[in-house]
Amino acid sequence: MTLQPPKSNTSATTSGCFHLKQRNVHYSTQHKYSQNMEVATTKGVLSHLSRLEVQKRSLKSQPQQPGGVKALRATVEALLTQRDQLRAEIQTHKNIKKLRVSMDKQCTNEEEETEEGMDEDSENSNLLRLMARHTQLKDLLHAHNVVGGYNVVKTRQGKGVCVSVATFYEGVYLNTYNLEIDVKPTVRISRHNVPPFIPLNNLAEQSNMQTDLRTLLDPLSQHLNAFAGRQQQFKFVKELHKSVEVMESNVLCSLLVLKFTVPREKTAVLCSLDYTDCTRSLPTRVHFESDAWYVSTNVLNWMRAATGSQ
Amino acid sequence: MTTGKMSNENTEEAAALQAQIEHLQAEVSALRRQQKDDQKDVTFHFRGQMQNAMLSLCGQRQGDEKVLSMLMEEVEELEEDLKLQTQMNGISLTGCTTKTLQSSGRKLVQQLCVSGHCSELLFQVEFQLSEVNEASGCVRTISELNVVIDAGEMQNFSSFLSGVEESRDLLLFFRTLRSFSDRCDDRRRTFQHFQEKYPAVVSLPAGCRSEVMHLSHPELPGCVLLVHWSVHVSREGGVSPKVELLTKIPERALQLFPSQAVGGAAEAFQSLLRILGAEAALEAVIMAVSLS
Repeated sequence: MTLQPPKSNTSATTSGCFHLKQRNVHYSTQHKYSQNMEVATTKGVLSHLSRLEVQKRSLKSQPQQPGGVKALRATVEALLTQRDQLRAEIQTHKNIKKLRVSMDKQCTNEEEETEEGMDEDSENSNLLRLMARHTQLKDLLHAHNVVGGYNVVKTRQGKGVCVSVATFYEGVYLNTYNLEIDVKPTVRISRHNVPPFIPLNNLAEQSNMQTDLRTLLDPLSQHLNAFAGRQQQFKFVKELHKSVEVMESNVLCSLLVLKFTVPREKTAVLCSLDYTDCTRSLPTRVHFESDAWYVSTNVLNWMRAATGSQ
Repeated sequence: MTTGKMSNENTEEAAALQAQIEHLQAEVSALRRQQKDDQKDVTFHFRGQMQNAMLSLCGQRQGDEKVLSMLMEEVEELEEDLKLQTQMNGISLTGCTTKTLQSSGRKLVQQLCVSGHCSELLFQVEFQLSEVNEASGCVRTISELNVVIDAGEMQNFSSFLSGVEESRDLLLFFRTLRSFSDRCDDRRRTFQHFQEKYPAVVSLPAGCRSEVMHLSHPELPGCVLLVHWSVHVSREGGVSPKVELLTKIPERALQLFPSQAVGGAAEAFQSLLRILGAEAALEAVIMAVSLS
């Protein structure tokens, strides 16, 4: 319904004038329906106009205009989509995890192959199974790395491989040593970062690496891990105690000479540790020396126990 | 309908929509938190092709066939890689389950349970793996190591296993297991070889994987030479095969042949072993038993 203020009293349509007049009569409490129609109508029109003005102003001040509601509806739609998407992703996650659990059980032969009742169609369930298998493979490959595997990588279209030998001591993963090996035409070590005091060439010669690389890698790993163990021990000893001083050590960590200064007795004892077996991280021989004419047996016994020698 | 009434309805609808918006925003935040929690487990934090597949399943991506084939390609690559690692590492891992115990910016702690077999030796190890990002790099450590192996081999391994659990030397466990398995394979191959070559003299009553090989001349079934080939594992993880010759000869036979050759066979064999090595020494004994 549109309200049209009359242009003039006389030109107004009958209905329009009549409405106005009626309105005037309705709203204008001050004016009774009088014989002086002109006066009454003018006053009514004016007050009506002012009334319209007030309504317009009050509509503007309200935040929810028709445009505003549309925007809100759009926001609701967007949020609904977002929520449904998240719900779907979380449910898919759950389904994959469930599939994975049953796949793990199958692998350890705990369960017969059973079809988990999935609500998805067969194409979706194929994708889900594939995704579960993907997570399983990634975990298994991670496990191979964590348990000290050689991390073999094929290079140069199968003409070479890269391997890494992991070292470990007392619960800590230490340095990794890498080798680049040519596979064709013969098996040959091309590059590596194994320290020179590790007899790599000897090990290669003594191995069967042409047919089985592990006959080289396993002994190499033994040497490197034993070295890493000795190296860590030497490092700890240096930081040990002020009464223990390192007099001599070598790069291979196969020889260590320590000076113990026995606090109460003010005597010095030299302790030499020989690690002649390079495949072990324990000493093969321990030797004590002292200038003092008397070193109490308590101290000697303690030192024997501490270095693990008989 | 007057403008006033219309504005009232708008207000009502707007208020209702506003309330719905707030409710949905709360729901979405809660779902996002749950998803973040789900993804703390590194295994289930999807990237690349897996992420594409996830989005395709949840209706966001088009082209389902392409997603399936691309993921299939990636899975095949992973299968190939696993075969390669299995062959090179000499162990077959059949299961690895991970549980993320702690996952913050710098530190990740997982509980892993790895099971598999090395040749025919079954094992299961459980441990905690921590990865901490420090200035010097990423430091990985193992704690709470628990090792279980096939019950049959337990007595051979018991002191070694307790040592390994104490020192948390996961890698030593696998190196030793592989070494042990290789030496057992040497034994099995040798026993099988001799049984095939000298079927009349050699028998393996407990199978080719057993520690014992019987040698006897078919015409003297009561006189048996036993080859006991054991593989010993030291506490430090040193694997050493030990071959011994034992004689099971009835008293009466020994009385008939009082010479040292039969009685001192065990010691003689040890010398032979030192000079010729296991296979050649055994062959020599077999030849002697077959009296050829």
